[in-house]
Amino acid sequence: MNVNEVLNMLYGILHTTGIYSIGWKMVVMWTIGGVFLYLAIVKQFEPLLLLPIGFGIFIVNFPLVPLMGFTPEGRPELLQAFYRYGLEWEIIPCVIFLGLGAMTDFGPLIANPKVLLIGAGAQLGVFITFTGTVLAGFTLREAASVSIIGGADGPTTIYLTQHLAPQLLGANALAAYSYMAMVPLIQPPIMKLLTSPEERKIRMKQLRPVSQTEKILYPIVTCGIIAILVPAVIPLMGMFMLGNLMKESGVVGRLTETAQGSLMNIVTIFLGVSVGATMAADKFLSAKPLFIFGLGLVDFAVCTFGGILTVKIMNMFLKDKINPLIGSAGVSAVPMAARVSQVVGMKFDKTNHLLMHAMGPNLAGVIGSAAAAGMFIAMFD
Amino acid sequence: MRKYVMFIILVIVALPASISWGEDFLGAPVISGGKTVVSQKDRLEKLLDMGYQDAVKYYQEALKGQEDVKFWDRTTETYIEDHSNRPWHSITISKEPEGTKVVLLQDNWTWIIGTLILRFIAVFVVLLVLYVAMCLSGAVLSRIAAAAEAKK
Repeated sequence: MNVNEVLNMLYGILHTTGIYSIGWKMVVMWTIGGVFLYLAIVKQFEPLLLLPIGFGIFIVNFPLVPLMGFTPEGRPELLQAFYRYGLEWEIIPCVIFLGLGAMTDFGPLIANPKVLLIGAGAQLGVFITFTGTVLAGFTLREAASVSIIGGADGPTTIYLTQHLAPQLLGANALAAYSYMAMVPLIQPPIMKLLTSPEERKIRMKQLRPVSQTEKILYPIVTCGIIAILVPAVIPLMGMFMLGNLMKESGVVGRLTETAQGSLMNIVTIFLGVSVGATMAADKFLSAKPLFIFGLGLVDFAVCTFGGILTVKIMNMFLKDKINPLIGSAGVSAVPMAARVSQVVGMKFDKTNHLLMHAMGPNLAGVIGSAAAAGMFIAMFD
Repeated sequence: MRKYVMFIILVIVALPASISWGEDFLGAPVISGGKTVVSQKDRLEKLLDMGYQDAVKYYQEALKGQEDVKFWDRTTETYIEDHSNRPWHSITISKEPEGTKVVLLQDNWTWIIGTLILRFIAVFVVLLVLYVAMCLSGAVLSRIAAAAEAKK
């Protein structure tokens, strides 16, 4: 064996590594993945999601890695399998809703059901953004999937996007979860801008106690109504209400514990890493995803505005006024948006606790964004 | 040569109207023949001298493989809608007493804004129905609870 043959062999070995195929786009994606990991680990912004998403972005953007493709025999590779069976088959968002339902207490919403309207008003941005997205040249299906980002509901965004425009899944999911993580940064300036000092100090009547029977009936009745009016989203809402019924009935403690604990954690890992894995450099580094990121912020801001505006309109007719600071919680992002209402409210009156009042519109936002998603699915299917 | 030219002319003349694909309205195929009822920049309305099923079949063939085109079969009419960025918005094929009617519409903002407003209102309606149901069940359960308390 001469020197040339040895060099050729080395050259051949080098070609089986990814060194020759690394491009600048991959480096950019590593940086984006790194930013997500930084936000999750150092800043602790939604670490449960941003950490696996960030790592998914990082790991999938290496050349020749057998993660998102198919084997020569046609079997999906590891992350492709997670993506296909979890997201493409729309299983993960529904299972997450099951876990969320098992963790949710609808008491504040049952005690003050009129705040349901705030959850509807906060969908304003969803419908306005739709128009902007169409103007920007997106198809109607893409516009619908992008506009739901403002609803600030990760599983609903994923469910709708997978249904209408799967090619935008990575960008949409990332935008939704990023803005959900940034609720404490985005909402307060808008809340302050839209409310007067007097409005911020409005004290709301203490919520009535809710009986266990009401809490048990609530998921059944809601599920029935949604199934009749917006059947398209019943996979999501049905699971949500099942989880809640399991919790409130108190007879299936083990199932409730699994749904809100282990099961939720398992699907969160698969969700995060699969979403991150959809962001291969060649797909993500184009005008559309970057535009989605920009528009998502506007969408989110308009949804916040819609919630506050709805409270102001309601206050014109109500004897017992609602503090407009809880209007911003009409976007989902449970319970972060409700906490923001509490924190901002406390800045102006240290003894005015808005958290429980804000939980009502917050939960109404989940139902509202699911209803909006159902409207879009019905529009195209 | 003359025979060849005559044959081509004969084929063109004898070609049935239903399979001639020369005409279009803003890129949407239009069945030639029949009577044009309305011909505007944003709307074309034609009364065809062909059966309803044949017209539907024609459009199914013509739009085959085109992405984001949705067909709705509504018993007496078929509604075809474009969900992408084509210049045309919809094609409605309907059975009329005087024949088969086809209406082609230009893509328009009225439809988009209209459907968005309606769907936004629909979200309110859904939550309003839920609100009414919760108020009713809350009132009933409170009364039952109060009655039970009173008995004690």
